[in-house]
Amino acid sequence: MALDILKNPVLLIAVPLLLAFLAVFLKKIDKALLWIAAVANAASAVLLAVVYQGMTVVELGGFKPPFGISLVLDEYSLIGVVVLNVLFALILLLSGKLVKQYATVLLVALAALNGIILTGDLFNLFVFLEIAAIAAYIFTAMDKGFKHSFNYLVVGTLGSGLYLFGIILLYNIFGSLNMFDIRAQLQAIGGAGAETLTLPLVMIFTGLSVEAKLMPFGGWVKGVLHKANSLVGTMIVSGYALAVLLAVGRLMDTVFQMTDAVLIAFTAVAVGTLIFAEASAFSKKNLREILLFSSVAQAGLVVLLFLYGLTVPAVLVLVNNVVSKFVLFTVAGRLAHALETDDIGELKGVFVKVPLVGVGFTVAVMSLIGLPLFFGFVAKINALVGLFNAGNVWLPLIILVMAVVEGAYFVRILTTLWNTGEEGEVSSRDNLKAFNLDGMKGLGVVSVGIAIVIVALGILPVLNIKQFFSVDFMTFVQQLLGGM
Amino acid sequence: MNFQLSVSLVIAGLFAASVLAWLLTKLNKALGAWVTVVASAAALTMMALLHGEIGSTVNLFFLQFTLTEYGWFFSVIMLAVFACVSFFNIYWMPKLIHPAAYNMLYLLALTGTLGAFSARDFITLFIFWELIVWASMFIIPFGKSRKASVTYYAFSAFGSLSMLYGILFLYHKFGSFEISSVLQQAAGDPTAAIVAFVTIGIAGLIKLGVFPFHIWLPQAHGNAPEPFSPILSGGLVKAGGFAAFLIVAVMPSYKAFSTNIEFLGRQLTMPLPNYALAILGAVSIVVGTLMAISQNDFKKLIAYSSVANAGYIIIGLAMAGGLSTGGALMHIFAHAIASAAAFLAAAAVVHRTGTTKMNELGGLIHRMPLTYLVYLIAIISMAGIPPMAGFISKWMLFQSMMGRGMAFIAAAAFFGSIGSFLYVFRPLSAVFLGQLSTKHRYVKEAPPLMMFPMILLSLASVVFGVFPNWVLRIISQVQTSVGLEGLTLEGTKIIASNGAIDPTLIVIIFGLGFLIAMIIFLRFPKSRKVPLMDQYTASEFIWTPELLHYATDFYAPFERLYQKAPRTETLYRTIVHKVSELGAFASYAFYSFKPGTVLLWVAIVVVAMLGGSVL
Repeated sequence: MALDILKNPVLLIAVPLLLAFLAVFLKKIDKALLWIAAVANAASAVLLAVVYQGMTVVELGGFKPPFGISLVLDEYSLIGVVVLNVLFALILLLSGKLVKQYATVLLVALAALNGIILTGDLFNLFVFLEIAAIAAYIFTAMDKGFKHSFNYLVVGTLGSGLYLFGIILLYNIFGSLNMFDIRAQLQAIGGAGAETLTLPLVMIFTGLSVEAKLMPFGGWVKGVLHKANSLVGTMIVSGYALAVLLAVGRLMDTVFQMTDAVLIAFTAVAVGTLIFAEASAFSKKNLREILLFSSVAQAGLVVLLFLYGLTVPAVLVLVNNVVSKFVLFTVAGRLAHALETDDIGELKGVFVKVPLVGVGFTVAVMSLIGLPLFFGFVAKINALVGLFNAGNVWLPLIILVMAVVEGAYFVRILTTLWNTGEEGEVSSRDNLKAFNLDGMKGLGVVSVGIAIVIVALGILPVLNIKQFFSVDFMTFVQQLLGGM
Repeated sequence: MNFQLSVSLVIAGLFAASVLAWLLTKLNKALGAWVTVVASAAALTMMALLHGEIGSTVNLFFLQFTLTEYGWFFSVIMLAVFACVSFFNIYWMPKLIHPAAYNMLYLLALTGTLGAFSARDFITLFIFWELIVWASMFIIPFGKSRKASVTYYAFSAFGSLSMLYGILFLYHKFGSFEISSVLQQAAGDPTAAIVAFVTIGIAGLIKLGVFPFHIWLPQAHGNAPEPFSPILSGGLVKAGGFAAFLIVAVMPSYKAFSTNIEFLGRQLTMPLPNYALAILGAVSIVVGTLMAISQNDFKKLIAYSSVANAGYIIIGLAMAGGLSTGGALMHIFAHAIASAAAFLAAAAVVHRTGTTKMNELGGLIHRMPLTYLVYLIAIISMAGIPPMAGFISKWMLFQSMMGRGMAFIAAAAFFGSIGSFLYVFRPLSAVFLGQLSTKHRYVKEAPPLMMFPMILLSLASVVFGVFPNWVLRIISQVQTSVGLEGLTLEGTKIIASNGAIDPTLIVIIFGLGFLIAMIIFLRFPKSRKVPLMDQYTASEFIWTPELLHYATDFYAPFERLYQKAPRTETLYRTIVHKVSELGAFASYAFYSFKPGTVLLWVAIVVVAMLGGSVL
């Protein structure tokens, strides 16, 4: 009986939220509560994965959907939930003292991010997006980043507003706020009337793109992340990116019925993001700026894959990106904190001093650019094969050309950080700068641990052809109609 | 586990050896370097023994390998180069910033080449191809330049991702990844054939270093750590030859494309895509030769000579006939050995003197005579002069060019041959001949473990120049295995359409000529020595005597002819700048610290997306 309660995905949202409220009153132990929530969530998510038998729908308050809010735990959200909660625990482990007085806010963020991934209701998604965004506005102001947080706040509010406008129109058209119900209705009417959906879909896409950092909507990203410490950086780039992009994917799978013109418009935004962001990353010399632009580009790629219905490859690319960026941003933030700079030219040879961290960083980069024997390669091959099968021959070309650019700037980072000396001088330990890097052991161990996981997933062919999606749609529809 | 000798065992063994090399180097650097020596030598022996296994398929997890004749041929050359060069690793351990990583990556690069050459399906080929790239991209910055590695990676990635596009396109069309069957099917389908040819061809051209993708070669080979330059130049570029061989001989391109083309009233002898390859090869020869002549750093010079030689190889492969392919494959073999020997001699000089600048060296023949001999034999082979192996391959290539009536390409090839006399002589005379600088008075000859592989490689150049048919018989087998005609060999003679040569006879006559010249030299009075650095200019003191050293601006009058010509490097630098500018612009325009900018962009894009249809 106790185990049954623990198997309820609602706990992933409810426990952090409850502890957040408690933390307001019990300020002295707020960090302890944050830790309890993180560990409990991570354990709960793993438990859910272990006992997973098929799609679970949780009706909140006992109201059957589409009248009530439902949480959906299928393979798609299960992966999201596991990766999110485990990453959150690791982020917390490696940020330590950076939390300061933001424990409550982080608890709220954790609850909201889980909610974004799990929810099956459009308005509920809006609520969780807003909660997560507000938490983000607050904790990105850490380290005196007030101006950039304000920028984020203004733009984010606009985004949420547009999204709300879009779902209002959808409610008007379909009479329901449940994503799966809308999908059923769309399938019932065939493909007709997609033109009426143009306005709501554009509103929803734009609204989510602001949070998902696509160009040109994500203009807040540079300000917020270019001087972010490892806690803020990883939360936005790993946690938020994962949740928001999974939500985008969910919506594209259920609600998006696009005309050709709309599909072209959205593709243009995604491809534009990919091209401009990679070029921007290429032109920068600061580690955090390069990484944030790389995240934007990967977000564009993931959205592109979702647009063409390639949900499995998109999830693989997304998970690869999020896990790699977690390692990269943590290292970048910690190096910047310790050495007061993240200009690559100043960091020549830094990995000679912290080789474990260097190995973890290197493996994460190699997975990100999709080199074989790493997980990123599996993701990339799946994505490209999927695009070819969808009949598209130009998108793979663009993706591969931008992959060259991406590889170039990442290799620039790697070769600079592992070697010393100016151009024309042999790289040697003699001209190594004296870096003051203490306390990086824990980071080293965790990065190498993740590196091992990445290599294992890349070598074992488990994920090569695995079908993630076995959502039994008819079963869900039957459950759904039970509420009518 | 099945321990029967097979390709997968060799590859798995090399993977294990690379990890072992890393671990042991952490304990004792020399021991770790010895692991690379033993591992490459063992792999070479095993691959030689595997000649009998040609045709069988083996698996390693989800990777599939099959040994073909041409794969075996390329693998043995690669392994020979890696095994010989590995002896130098022992001496470079103290000089490298990351010795453990170097040893591990050295063996991983070797694994990559073997895996690529014995791959059965395209995914395996791609995986090991990329393994070569990322293993070597970490080693190159251990030398003098970090930018060289970025350029190397950018070009290599462009090539391998272009190949990936081709692979996936073919998979989408034919539903399979298996190399020989997919390529043969592609030969029957015009669109697939041209996509395969262009994408895989680009990968091969980039890896070989053929114009216009040659600029990474001198940067990477010239700046890599000394023991790795021979690997890059003698070994890894041959992987490009392998890719080119796939599309030209395995596909094969003369079956895929029409050969019935008329141009200016004459019938072309090759399909148009093959012509494109041959023309690029010809330009490569000219560019490589001219750039080599103007170099002052002798590693960069040998690297540019690799560009020129890549041109010869690609011309031979493009012509896809019996003699021409044989010439190209022989040239791959001869150039691998000669280039490896030349770079190893350079490494020996660096080990003893610490510099590669030609105007700081001189007269080393007195202190390092064996190294001089190794270098001399290597450059004679690269220039294509008998009695070395390089002459045989060049002869075969010239014969086939003339036989096909390709006059302009032959003219470029001849120009390259003559130009190569110029550039191979310069380092020889600047570094080894001339007068010994005082700071190098006590330089010792290269240590015995270094001499051993250098002598081996020189012997190979000589022996296979005198008895080339030992190698040519194997090459003939390789050609017949892919359906090309073989070579006509009789005893020690090679027979072509325009005539035959008997290399053994040539060497005997050459030897006689040498003897006569020696007698004349000994009989006549000797020349008078003049101190080299003892210059004077109307009683002014010279602060920079090295500018007046005869090795500086050696070929100045000739160089002045093409000094103002545009360089390909400028083109690539411009492209890089433009991408950077685009990125900086995007960062400025879209990413501002003011909310207003983003709101404006949101408004514009939303209106654009709605396109007036709803409003």
